[in-house]
Amino acid sequence: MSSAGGTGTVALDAQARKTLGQLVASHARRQGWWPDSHDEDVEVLSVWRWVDGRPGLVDVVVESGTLSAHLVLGLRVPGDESHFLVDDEDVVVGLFEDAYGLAVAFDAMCDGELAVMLLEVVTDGRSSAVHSRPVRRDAAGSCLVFDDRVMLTSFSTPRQVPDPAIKLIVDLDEAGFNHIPAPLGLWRRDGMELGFAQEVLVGASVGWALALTSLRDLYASGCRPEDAGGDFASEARALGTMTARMHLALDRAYGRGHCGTAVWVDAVEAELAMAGGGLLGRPEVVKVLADARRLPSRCPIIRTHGDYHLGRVARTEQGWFVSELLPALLPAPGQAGEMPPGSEARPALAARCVEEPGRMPMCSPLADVADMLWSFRHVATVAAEERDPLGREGLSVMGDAWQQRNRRAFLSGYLRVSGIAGLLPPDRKTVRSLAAMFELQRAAARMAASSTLPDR
Amino acid sequence: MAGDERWYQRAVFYEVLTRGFYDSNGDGVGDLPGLRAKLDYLEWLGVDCLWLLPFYPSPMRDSGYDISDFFTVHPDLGTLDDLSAFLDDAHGRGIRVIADLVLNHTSDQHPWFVESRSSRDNPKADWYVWNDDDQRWPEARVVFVDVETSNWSWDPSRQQYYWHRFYSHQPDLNYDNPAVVEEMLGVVKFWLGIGLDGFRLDAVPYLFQRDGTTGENLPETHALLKRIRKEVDAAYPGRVLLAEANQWPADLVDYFGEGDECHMCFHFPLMPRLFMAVRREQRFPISEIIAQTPEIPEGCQWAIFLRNHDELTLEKVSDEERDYMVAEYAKDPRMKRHMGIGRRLATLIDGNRSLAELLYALLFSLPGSPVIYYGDELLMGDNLYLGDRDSVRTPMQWSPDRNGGFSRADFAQLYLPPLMDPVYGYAALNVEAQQRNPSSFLQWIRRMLQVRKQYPVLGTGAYDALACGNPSVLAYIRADEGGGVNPVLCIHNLSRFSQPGTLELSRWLGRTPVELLGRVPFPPVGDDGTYSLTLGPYGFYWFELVAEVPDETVVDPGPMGVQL
Repeated sequence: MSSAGGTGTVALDAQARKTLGQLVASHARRQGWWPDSHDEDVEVLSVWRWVDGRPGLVDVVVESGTLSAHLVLGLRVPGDESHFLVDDEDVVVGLFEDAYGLAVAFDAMCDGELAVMLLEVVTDGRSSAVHSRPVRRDAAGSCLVFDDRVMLTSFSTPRQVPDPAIKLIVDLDEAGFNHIPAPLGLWRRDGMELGFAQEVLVGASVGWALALTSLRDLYASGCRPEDAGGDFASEARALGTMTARMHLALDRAYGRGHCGTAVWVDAVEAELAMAGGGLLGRPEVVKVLADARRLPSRCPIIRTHGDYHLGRVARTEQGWFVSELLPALLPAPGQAGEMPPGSEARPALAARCVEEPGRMPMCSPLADVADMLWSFRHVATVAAEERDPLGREGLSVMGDAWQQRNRRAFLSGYLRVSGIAGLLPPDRKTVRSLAAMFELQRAAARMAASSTLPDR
Repeated sequence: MAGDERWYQRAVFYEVLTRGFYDSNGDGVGDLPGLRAKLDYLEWLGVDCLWLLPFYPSPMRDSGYDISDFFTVHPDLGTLDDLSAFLDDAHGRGIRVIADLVLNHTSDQHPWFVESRSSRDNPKADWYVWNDDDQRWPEARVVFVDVETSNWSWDPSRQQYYWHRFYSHQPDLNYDNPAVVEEMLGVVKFWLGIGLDGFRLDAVPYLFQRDGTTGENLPETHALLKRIRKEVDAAYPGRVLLAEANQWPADLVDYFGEGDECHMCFHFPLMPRLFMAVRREQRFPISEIIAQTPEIPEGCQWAIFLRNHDELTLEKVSDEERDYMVAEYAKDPRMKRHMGIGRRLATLIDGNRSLAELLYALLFSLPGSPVIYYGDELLMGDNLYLGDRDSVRTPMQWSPDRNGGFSRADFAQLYLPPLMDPVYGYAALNVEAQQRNPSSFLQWIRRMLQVRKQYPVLGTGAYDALACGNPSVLAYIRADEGGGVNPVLCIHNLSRFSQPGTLELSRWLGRTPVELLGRVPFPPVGDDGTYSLTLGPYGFYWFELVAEVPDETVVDPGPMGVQL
């Protein structure tokens, strides 16, 4: 994957630089994230002309103090017809004059024609499109989808190269893992990450929705899960296989280490104590922790997904994909830092990871496995509550049978993948104990953060 | 019938078992004059082309696919003159007729085989495939695994084994012999000369055998089919060759050649997946197989179907999928036939009319020309206690009268007993009653055929899948690539529960979806390009996406109390 090419840097006189700086800063202010106090002393860090002339494309990065902003300006001759994708007066950024004369500057990500031009140059001509549509536009950045095939993300604030989210996608792709939306173009300039072009998962349905479909059918049929038309086992098996391939790719990309299990047991105990409700005293919990304490001292660890559940995977015509990796490319609106949408358990789950100097946090891949197993249990419960809020129909028995069947199928799909055994503790008993402990932790994390959460 | 040479791309086919359709002479067997007598009904129904199952002389050990004379009509069914009169009448009503032609094999009672087996040096000695042992071509699978153990059978008179890909009483012709090729080309021309509009070519993948191969889809087979096509096009333009090749899509498309082989091919892998999808309540079985289906050459067309005269074949599904389908659709072991399930549409879906409508909506809007199996327009049932595939070949149910109006013969004389059970029997389900009932399934099918005829883009348009986050919703656009006509949006709910669906229609901003069955305009596609719909259980909508809705179609109640 190479960085995007382009036409070249632009030599501007002081007045033009000042104008550009003010245009970008005032646009950011209208977007609501650039304070008035930063309007002065705006400095243009980088100007790159993607497309010369009119209509033209100029990629601009400005900074003021600790703030920086990124915007692609589309330059059109005044009176030229524009192709607005959004009904927003902020689309027009202002007037700008250069060697080609006076131009009206637009936010290029909001103009259908200019956006298609931008996609072509960002992907170095490898992607072209006819139609584009906006899917997101806020303080974090904007996203366009082209012909339902390619997504182009432009960051409002430049990031340092390499951006962890982009690096993860690229590393997995280079490690041969093709169950993620493939990277199609890096958008980098002067050591800054300005955006990213990525494949769109066409025709995808989130795993959670698919599991709910199966459960609704089961609860309506009132039969055994294996006799129900919407049996999920083949899907769960394929999902397990894809999960193992993800772990093998993460191993190839980032290597593996080993660590003792005590750190995890301590973390789980702390988590359970925080969740309250006397969990630590429950006999089944005591047993899981006691079993975990007796495990062999060292287990393989790799970089893991970190918050892996049915809401993070999607089914397409090509099979299962990981639809959301962590960190997310763009944080959810209103969320700071790396917190991705729906990742309520993330802070707690981060405690599972072992950090070594110079290496990224790692954990046993069984943590991801346990998260998914917990997700099977969770979705069965949610679907039962959806159909029978008062619990009078006895759906929990069917739900238990469903999740047991699909847990087995998921594990069988996971464990049959060649090479996965090398990432797991050597004996099945240890695998079971460790997975049970991680699942317990996941459940506790959910309990601790459950009161206002969405149902997944 | 002159004119449009690509008629088959827009046609709706109707598969008829002549002996099961209508008995004109009271001998207990349906016949060609009987079929002719029912053309009024078929014209009323609105089908475009009839596909006749084999009507040739045959010992009837495989429902007529064991032909013993290629040049005439089985005496039970009528005469050549009866056929000509039937063809003339059908053509006069704008209905075309194709027929089964079995290229691969003959009956073992065919004079060619009788002569061939008589010695090793007779003039027809090499018209079939003979060998001294039964070990050659071990890679070739046995198709009817439940009744045959080998593709070779011993002939005691010739003291050699003969090759047969199907039943042992159906020896394969030897197409490496040029005389066989010429003779069969003569058969093709003979029937086209009489007026048939084409053939459904039975079992075409198996025409040749080669060492080290499975004997399927060989280059020599394609070369022979290309030669047949060339000769047909030259002498009889506008006739159609429809291949029966139960293969995966990637192999199937080879039967189109580069537009110079078969005009049409049955899309076998799609059919079981339609049933799988509605039972799983998710679109992926359908959308996956369509995504795996390569583009086909210009001028070609798929033939798609829900059920036919054979079992619901499960050859082209994975082992896991086969187990699933048998568990779901063949709960009684008697329902299993060969490598499939011997049931009709109605019984497969437990008579669920909503589901039947959904399946037909898919059949009529997915890429391809639909083929309706006789009786399935009534939701006729089957008789599991009849042998082999006769379970789905019982007499057409015309009325509540004796023998379902099929025949005036004594009951015991009938070729097969009509259905008489209280749910699917002729007293409950018949053409006469359903024609009288405006809300019957038959009337609904007829209306669907009318709509499909009004929107030929459903036959010829490109297929463009639409993304929908709800896995139970399958949506797509059928659009003319030239943009000359309005596209049609089809959205289906594969679930027994009501489902929401939000589609991305930004390419059709401002267009108004007009529902095709009722011509009701829906709200136009809004500025954000998304379009949300709620679908009832097994519900579906077909919409024409129109740029401007004529004023008269917009409902305006006008001032209260004004009488015009």
